[in-house]
Amino acid sequence: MNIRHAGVFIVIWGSLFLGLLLSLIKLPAEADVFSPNYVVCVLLYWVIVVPEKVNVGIGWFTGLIFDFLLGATLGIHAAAFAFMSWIVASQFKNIRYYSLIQKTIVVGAVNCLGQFLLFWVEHIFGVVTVDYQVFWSCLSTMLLWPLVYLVLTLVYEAVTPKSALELYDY
Amino acid sequence: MVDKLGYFGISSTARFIICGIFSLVLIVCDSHFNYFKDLRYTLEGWLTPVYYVANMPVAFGRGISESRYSYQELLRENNFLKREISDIRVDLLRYDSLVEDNERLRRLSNSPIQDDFRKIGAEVIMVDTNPFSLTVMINRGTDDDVYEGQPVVNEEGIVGLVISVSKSTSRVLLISDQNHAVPVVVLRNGIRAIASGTGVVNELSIVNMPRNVDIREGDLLVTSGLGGKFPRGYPVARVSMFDRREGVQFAEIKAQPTVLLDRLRHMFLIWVPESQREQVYTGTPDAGDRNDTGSQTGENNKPGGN
Repeated sequence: MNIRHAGVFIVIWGSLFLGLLLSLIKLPAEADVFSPNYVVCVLLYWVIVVPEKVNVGIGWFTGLIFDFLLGATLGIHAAAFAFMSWIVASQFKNIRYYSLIQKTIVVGAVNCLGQFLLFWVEHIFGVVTVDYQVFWSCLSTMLLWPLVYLVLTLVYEAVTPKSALELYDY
Repeated sequence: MVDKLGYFGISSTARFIICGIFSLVLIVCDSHFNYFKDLRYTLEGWLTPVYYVANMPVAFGRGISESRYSYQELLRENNFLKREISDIRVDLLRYDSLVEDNERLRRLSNSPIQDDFRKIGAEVIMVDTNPFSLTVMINRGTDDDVYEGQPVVNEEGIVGLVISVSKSTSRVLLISDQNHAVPVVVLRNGIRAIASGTGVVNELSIVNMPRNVDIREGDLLVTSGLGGKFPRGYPVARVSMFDRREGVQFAEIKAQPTVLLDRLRHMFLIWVPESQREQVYTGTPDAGDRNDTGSQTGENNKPGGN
């Protein structure tokens, strides 16, 4: 592992950790239903941009850490995150070349599907009522994603020399 | 196009299937067999700083809004609090003699005497962001002898139950969580009921009550002490809606917890004497095992409700 890879490694894990931390923050009760899912934004960004580094495995692992942090049943968020990464990685192989709006729509839809899966698994293994307000957070996640995209692209390009970026474009 | 996603030579679909199986195994092990209790204990000990950092923006915002209090406002609040303290002191003047009276009467009727409970203050360090569960994390753990299934109250009534403990933090399941139920009595006439959580933060529902039951809007529900988790006589909720619609088997009764559960900050952990705890712990499901107990049908299997 050379310096360049170390930089990318730090940026990926640093951003995922920051996403996890932000997801733990509880907004005041009135704004809380609109709080976006930061960690999903960051995870899906990396799955789109560097699918050969971040995909199902890392998605699953991030979800597992999220489960630990939330004190939820272990494996529930892990399954949902792995599912979201899998859809993006396997069904949208050329998503890197989509326009930003198209990417945003895909991310929003995939996140929504992921929330359904979460509900479903929670429903099988526990008692849960469907709180439709959760889907407000899907909307805000979708609106936040372009911003995450721009910020993380700037950071990622700063740690990756141009030649390395071109290598990935096959 | 060649599938370039294979890191160890397997495609992402294969990897998803492996991860899915792993997740299923983990979920079953965690929710039905509670295998990861010790691991959680250790990890939450390490992760305590993370929770403090995550709560920093909230604490910071609160600090700012508090520092903007003017001198006048502080003075007014101070006066108000002084008046309230003297009010409470006057009420308390007779407390000692009443306690003694009560003790004497209990001795006359050969009833066991209720001791005061040991209590300790705690502060919320993080509110759960998981939409499926209503829990908060508090800054007390095994270092302060907190145990699983311990009742948590504040000055307005019952807050909830400790469901997992780590070294210096623990998680409290709020009474309005889906998987929680408290045995209560109506203070006015002593009707026993079970107030179970609905998942909506400020709402409980009184389940399985016949339509002709004597419960009115505004009735205060207090703990009956029957489950053995909560001591007797703490306020739980006030009945906010009573609907005896025709054609349904049971009345639909909603109650609002006396504690403002979405604005929690300070609370008290109370120690129920070991002897009373022991009686009810034998043969009842573990309080920390919320998914296991919650998935069963009977209300009585819910933590706090047995």
